[in-house]
Amino acid sequence: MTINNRVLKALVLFTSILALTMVLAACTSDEPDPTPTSAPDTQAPAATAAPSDSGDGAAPAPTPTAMMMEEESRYGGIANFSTRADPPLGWDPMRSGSISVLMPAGSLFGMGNMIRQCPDDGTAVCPGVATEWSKNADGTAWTFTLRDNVYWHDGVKLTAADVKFWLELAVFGVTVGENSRRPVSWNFARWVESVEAPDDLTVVINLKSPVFDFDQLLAVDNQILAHPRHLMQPEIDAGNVNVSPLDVGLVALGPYYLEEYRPGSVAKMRRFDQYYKTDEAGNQLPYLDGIDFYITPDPSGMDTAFRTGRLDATARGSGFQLTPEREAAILSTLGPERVTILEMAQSSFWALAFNTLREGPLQDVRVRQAIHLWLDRPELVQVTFGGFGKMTGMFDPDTAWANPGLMETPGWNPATKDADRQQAKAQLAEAGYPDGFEAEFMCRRLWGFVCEPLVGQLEDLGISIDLQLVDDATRAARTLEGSYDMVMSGPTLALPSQYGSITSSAGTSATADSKHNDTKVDDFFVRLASAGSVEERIEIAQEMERYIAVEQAYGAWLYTENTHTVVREYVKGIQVPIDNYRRNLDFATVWLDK
Amino acid sequence: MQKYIARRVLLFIPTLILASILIFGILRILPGDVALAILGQEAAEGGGGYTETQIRELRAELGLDDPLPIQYVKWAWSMVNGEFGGESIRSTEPLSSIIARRLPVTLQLTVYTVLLSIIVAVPLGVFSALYQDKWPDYVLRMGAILGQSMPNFWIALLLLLFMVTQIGWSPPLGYSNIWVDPFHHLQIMIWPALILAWRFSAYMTRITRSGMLEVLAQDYVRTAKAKGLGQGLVVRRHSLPNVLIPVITLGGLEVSTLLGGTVILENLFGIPGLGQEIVQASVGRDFPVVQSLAMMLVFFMLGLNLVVDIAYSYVDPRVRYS
Repeated sequence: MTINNRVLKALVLFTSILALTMVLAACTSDEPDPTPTSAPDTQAPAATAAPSDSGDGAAPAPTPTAMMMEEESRYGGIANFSTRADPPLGWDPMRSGSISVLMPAGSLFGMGNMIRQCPDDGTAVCPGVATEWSKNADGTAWTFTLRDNVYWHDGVKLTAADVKFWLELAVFGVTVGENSRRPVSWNFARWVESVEAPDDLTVVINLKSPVFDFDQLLAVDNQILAHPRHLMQPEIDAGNVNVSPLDVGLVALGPYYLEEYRPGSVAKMRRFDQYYKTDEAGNQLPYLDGIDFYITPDPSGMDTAFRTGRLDATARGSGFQLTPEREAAILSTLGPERVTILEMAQSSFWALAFNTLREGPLQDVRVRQAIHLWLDRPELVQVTFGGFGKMTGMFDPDTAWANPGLMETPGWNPATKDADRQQAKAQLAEAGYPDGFEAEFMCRRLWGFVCEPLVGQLEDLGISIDLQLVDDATRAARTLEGSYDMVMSGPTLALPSQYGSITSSAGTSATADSKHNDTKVDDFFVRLASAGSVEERIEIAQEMERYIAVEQAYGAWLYTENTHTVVREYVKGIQVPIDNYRRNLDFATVWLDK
Repeated sequence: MQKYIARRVLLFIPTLILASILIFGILRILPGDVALAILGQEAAEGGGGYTETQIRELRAELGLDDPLPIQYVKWAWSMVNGEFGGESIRSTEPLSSIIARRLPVTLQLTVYTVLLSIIVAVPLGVFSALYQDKWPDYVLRMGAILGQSMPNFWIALLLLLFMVTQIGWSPPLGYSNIWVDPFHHLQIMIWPALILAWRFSAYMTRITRSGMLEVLAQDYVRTAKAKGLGQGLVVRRHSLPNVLIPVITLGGLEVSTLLGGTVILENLFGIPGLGQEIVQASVGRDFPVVQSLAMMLVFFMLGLNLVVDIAYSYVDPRVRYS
């Protein structure tokens, strides 16, 4: 055999391998299992009732009151939106509160459950698939009346038994043989003793003890009813206890049904004609024919696609919300008249939490208050988020939970910063630390960009900081041990009672970021649970904020980041949540003006 | 020949086992308990708490209760029996399904890159050698050096920026199979393939050039020219076949590094291949996915090496006799 023949054969072999690979690769379908494409069942009647219901707790506000409806909405069109990643954990809101679930899943599942937080008032509760709800005299039993016109995307009617199944799955989990499904740590779950469904449209939730704000706890928007009993129960009975919405074809109750899902690529939603909501004029929602959610795992790729018109809206979520530089680039390409910037508060309340159980200066309230007085929040917002943020106490100052005028008090008020800083120095000297002290500052590694600017300011006060950037596991372990002086805390919270797990006394919550033995703090959460009205709860929340954040300064509350996303100017009717960028994402009221 | 192949295959297996132990071990010696990391992340971001019982239950659910050797054996067996490490923590999708869906996409990108590179690199390498130290040679060498020295992601970002600002166009979103929508498919795939091919062909061009220069200086080439053969014939029939042996060998080995090169580009261009999955899994602390996909990449690299070794021995008998 000559060398030429051998080379020829080698080339043929090489080319054949490549060709075979190519054929194998290309023959593989890009439409994977599971691809739920069940079209809406035509047996389901069209929804006609406008949401005009009330509960007994909060001010009932029928759905679309906060949207931008200055022009007449119109039907039709497919919107192209971005989402940052495939929804994790089988799209299951019971197992993931990630924005990657909430962004596309809101349109599929609808928001909330029987009830939901009102779009324009986070203290109020609005109807979901229930029209009315009430509690008994001692607040231990809550009764909900369901709408009679709610259908799953496969045409099966929603009944009280479905809601009971969903509640029990969340609260108690399920065990079949050796397989167990963990209960969910949702806000309302720990209070529930049992659930009853006396008829098709009535759900009764019995509680272990009186909880007068149970409707608020249940209404938090990420607690989504997305688990069809008629599809999941057979799976569970067969031992698949961790069955997810994706496993049963993502059949849900929201304004859009899933036409096609290609992981890593796109999720195509189309209008569900039997959706139960209408607009204020009685027109059937949603307006759009559909939404294509493109999975764009890289922010620069997403920005590019938006700038060239491939996308009508950018994604939400860490790393994807716009920075000032990226926003400026988009504006310079498209011009301000061709985009609408949506600014939303995040409800992530960043705070420097103190450990007062560890021997040292932070056990002295004067030292903690000195830090609170010293920190320059506007400068931190500028350095950390490029100005896309605002100062907060324990609550967003634009919500009813916050103390009015708190941002004009010492510590927060920029106008008195010089005087506050002098006071801080004086208090530190008075506490016996005129030259400062040393402190360990634990910070989640992902939050390094938030912690590092803080270190600079603390060192200006004279505190020598040992910044310890740690992974999530280490942070969790050291939080349980309490082995730090200060820790960066940045939870996303919708209600005052959710602060319980991170600010309660050490005896009550081992996972609290602020460490103390102050049982007066625990009392606030007991009082919140037993308060009979929203007004009363607002009063308690404000008292709690004054006590924890100012009087005792168990933490120095700093700011919340504002999410900036952009949509093209022809995208109308987006509801902009006032207090939490994760909420109100069902896009039922969105329409295209083009 | 059969003995040679058997020897190579026998060496392949322990190398694979050693690599799997390394991958498994590295993920286990990273600081922190995975169960605590998952619950801690939820708590840090969601403001919720967790109990010791929850930690224990999650550890059991993830199979972290077993001793490390048992965990390793279970994982290794699942790689062999087709389960590929169980299922993703993040998506709960079986890894076999993830790999079946994503691997072909990455392979397609690799194939496009290799084909583009071969079509471009060999003629350019020959051309560069024939015009040694003249301006065409300088231009081609400069292009090759640029291709080898600039990071792929940087070229990709520049390309995207150029397309947006200068022509107002960007690749479409949403991957399509080539048989379903070829035009859409090519609009997405061509850019990362071109970027990867620049680097890959730069390497191949330089090898072809240096090989051709060496061959052109051989006595038999001078003899062929002395016989009065034209340059084209001398190159095609007497020089190129000898140059292609190292080109095939080294090019084949370099294909394995292409698989790693796709990781970032798949993310940038929204291509749902293995690279995109690895990045998403790393960010989401999805260790079964990271571990199994890393193993898959190692398997492919070692496999390609094996194929190249065998092909090389087939082309050049001196290898198998030594």
